[in-house]
Amino acid sequence: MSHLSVRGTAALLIAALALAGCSRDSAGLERGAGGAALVKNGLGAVLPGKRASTASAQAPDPAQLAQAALASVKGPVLLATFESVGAPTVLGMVGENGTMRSYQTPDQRGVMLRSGLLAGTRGYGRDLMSADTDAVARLIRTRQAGSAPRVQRYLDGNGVERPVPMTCTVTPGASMTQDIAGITYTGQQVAEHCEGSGAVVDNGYLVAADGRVLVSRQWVGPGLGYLVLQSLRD
Amino acid sequence: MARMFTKIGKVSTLALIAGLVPAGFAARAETTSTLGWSLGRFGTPGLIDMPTAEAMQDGEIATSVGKAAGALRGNFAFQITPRVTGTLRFTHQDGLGAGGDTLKEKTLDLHWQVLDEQGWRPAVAVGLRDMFGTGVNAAEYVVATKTLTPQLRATAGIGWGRLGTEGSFGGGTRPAADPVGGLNADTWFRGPAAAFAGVAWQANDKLVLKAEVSSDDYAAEVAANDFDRKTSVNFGADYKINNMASVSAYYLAGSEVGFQFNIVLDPHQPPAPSGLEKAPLPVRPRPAPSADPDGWSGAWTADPTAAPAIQKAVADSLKKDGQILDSMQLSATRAEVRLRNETYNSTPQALGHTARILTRALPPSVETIVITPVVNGLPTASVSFKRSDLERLENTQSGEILARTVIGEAALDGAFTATPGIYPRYRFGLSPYVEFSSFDPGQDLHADMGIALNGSLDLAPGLILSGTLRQKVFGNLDDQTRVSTSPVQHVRSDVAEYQKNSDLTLERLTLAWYGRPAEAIYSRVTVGYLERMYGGVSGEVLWKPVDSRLALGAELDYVKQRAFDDAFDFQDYDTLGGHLSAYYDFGAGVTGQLDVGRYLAEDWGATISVDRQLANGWSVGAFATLTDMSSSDFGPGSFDKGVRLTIPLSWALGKPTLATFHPTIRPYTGDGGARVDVDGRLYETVRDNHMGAIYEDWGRFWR
Repeated sequence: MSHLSVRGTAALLIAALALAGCSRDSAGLERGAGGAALVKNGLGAVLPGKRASTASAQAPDPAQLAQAALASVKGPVLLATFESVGAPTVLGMVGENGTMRSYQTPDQRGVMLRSGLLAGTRGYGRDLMSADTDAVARLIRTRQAGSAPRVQRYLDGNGVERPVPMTCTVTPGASMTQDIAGITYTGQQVAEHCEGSGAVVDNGYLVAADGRVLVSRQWVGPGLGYLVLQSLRD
Repeated sequence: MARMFTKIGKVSTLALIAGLVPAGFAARAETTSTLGWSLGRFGTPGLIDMPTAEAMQDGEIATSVGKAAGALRGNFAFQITPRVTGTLRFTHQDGLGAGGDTLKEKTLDLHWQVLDEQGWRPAVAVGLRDMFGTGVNAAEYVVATKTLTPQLRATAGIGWGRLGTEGSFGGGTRPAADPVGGLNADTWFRGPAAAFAGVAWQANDKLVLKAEVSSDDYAAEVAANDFDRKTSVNFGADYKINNMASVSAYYLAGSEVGFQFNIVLDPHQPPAPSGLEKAPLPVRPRPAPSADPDGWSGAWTADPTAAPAIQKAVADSLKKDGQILDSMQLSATRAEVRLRNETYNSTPQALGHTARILTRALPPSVETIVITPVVNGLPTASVSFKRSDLERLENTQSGEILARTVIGEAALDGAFTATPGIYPRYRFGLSPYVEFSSFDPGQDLHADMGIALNGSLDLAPGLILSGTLRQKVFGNLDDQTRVSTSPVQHVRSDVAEYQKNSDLTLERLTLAWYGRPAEAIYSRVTVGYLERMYGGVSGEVLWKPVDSRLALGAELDYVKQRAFDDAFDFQDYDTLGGHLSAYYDFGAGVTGQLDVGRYLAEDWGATISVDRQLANGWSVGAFATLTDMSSSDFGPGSFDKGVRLTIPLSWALGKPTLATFHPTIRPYTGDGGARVDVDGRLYETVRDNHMGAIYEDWGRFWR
């Protein structure tokens, strides 16, 4: 192995990155995107010791972002902020199936809500694959105290879906009116405390009189932490 | 379906003995200790020079490079099963070779954790160091390791061979190892034995400190290169840089300093288990019948423009998703699509995206959705869904929709409408490559790096012209001094002659025709320059029902040996060979394969191989071939054997790509038991789209 120079290896890596973009396909599939861009975006985000580049970006002002999103996006809009990252992103609704709504960011990462409760995420690397929240959702939407089960599921390294069952206690709180990112919300606070499978979770919701979840802080999973969701337009 | 990215092929290596692999791959219970295992100077879990009874996590791969006391070692350790660790090692050791030359060795270790640590019971392991080599570094041990506190672990053991040289007792004389190599089983656990011991202490999250009393007297190093062995006590420190990388430093025998760099990859712990690729399009539920009466009644079928418009919409949407709509069959109540997944490692993920796209494009009267994955023109399975199930179960537990999915044989014929403009389809791309010399005893390792141009032209369904052209950029394969002295036809042992002439190489240029003459029967004929060393014709038939664990195949090859230095010329040697093959899917990703037939040197025999594939695309396998060629004709190692790995790039990148890195490593490249290396054999082509593999990976259906 001593015969391979370090300089040579570095040169090859650079060449590899340059080459990865050099491909053509008459069927028009974006194989180029599987090359250089993929290495650049993918590795930066997932290699240990590297901070996601989004964290260092200048966080936009939430109020300005909200106004810009409402002006440019038709239909329901969410403002979402991962607590660990801090920068808010805008998601527009791309599909509605019964009580489930699918939202996506402009770069096509997804968040799904069922009756306002997180039902899944897509494209964040350690996604919430699915969640059974019907029983807790009933308590939260009607702002009733009570206890109910909840299951959240994740893919393990072998691609197997692993459930995290929890038991949740829902506690209604005070009614309040609050201004967030330039929008005024009126509703009742509801707290949800879940334990099980080694997880201890504290979700919070601001629920309107008609049962809609206006603003919430919900636990996505062990890899992604908490997500703060704000409905800009329902 | 794994597509080749860079092939470190032709390298060849070590047999992990299939018989030692116990059945069952259940994960061990986690111990409560905060102290993880750490690597020793031999690149396996250990103290410094002494082994421990620890094991890595199942499937983990540890690569390390270290230098100390005139020895440069590169180690590659793999946790084959929860209890068995195999380690391949390359050693350059000053003055220890014949006549005081540098010793250049490739060795294999096997470490078996007989008992894991439970309660009061320590972990106990038995191991062999350098089980095939010439014996300078060969040693065997029995060792026990016990966790005393969550931060402190103690080890004690008895060693033979090199580990039985300092403070030894009993045992008489150790038999001399066969100087040619081979399995030196008659020397194992023979001769003087000696005791060793040591401790590892987790000082903090990043640092582990180690000390040991060594039972190695370093007689060879002392004699050869002024190694000063002042004491039996060695010290070491491991500093963890991050989850993958660590550095180690050593102070040996009171006089020598050494360093080592380690990288540990756990295939079960990808950086992004659910991937970073885009979110799929959601299901679009159908409108109420009153809102679309024509759509629900099927009246739309009367409009001749409807079906082509729907097909175009589906094809366009799939293209954005990285897939190709090959053809489609549409009636008022049923839609069947033939799909080429060009992006996703996981077939269920490709199926899930396609099913959702179809719910967005099909008129409401269509209730049955059938998706047939097509690989190299072969329809491999038909996966049927009820559209109402897809609507009802979107983004629920993946098992729910699986219970309502029917997987069966793909239809043989049917009124499929081909998507316009997809044939002929050409693709080409440039990629880097690395090629190593064979790892034969006493030879330096040489390598070339360069650029490969891969191209393919799909002329019609199943008719594919493809090739690979390589241009070396730099390297030293042309400095190899190896000359084959094999007494039989040089069917593989002339590999160095090809590598010396590897400036611009036509690696492969073939026309392949794939067919499916009957249900569960697949066929292939490949003509052309099949691989670097052979050209000719290769024909194959495979029987593999979609839901069967068993598959049977037959292959016949007529090949002629290619010239060393001319892209299109041939040498005189031609041969007819062939095999009957049986494949069995044992579940949990383990596949066994038995091939019986005639090999390239016209020797008759059989190959047995076992591969273990994880759903995330990692695969590791071992193979061994015994033929009627005598072991002396074969050369060192007596028979052909090796390991093969597949590492999917998507695992490291978190983005979907079918590209993989798949080296095959042999300890010695001989002329016995060699087969022609044809691209796109049927079993590997079809397997990932059959029931076993689809079930394994179903968790990604809604991804």
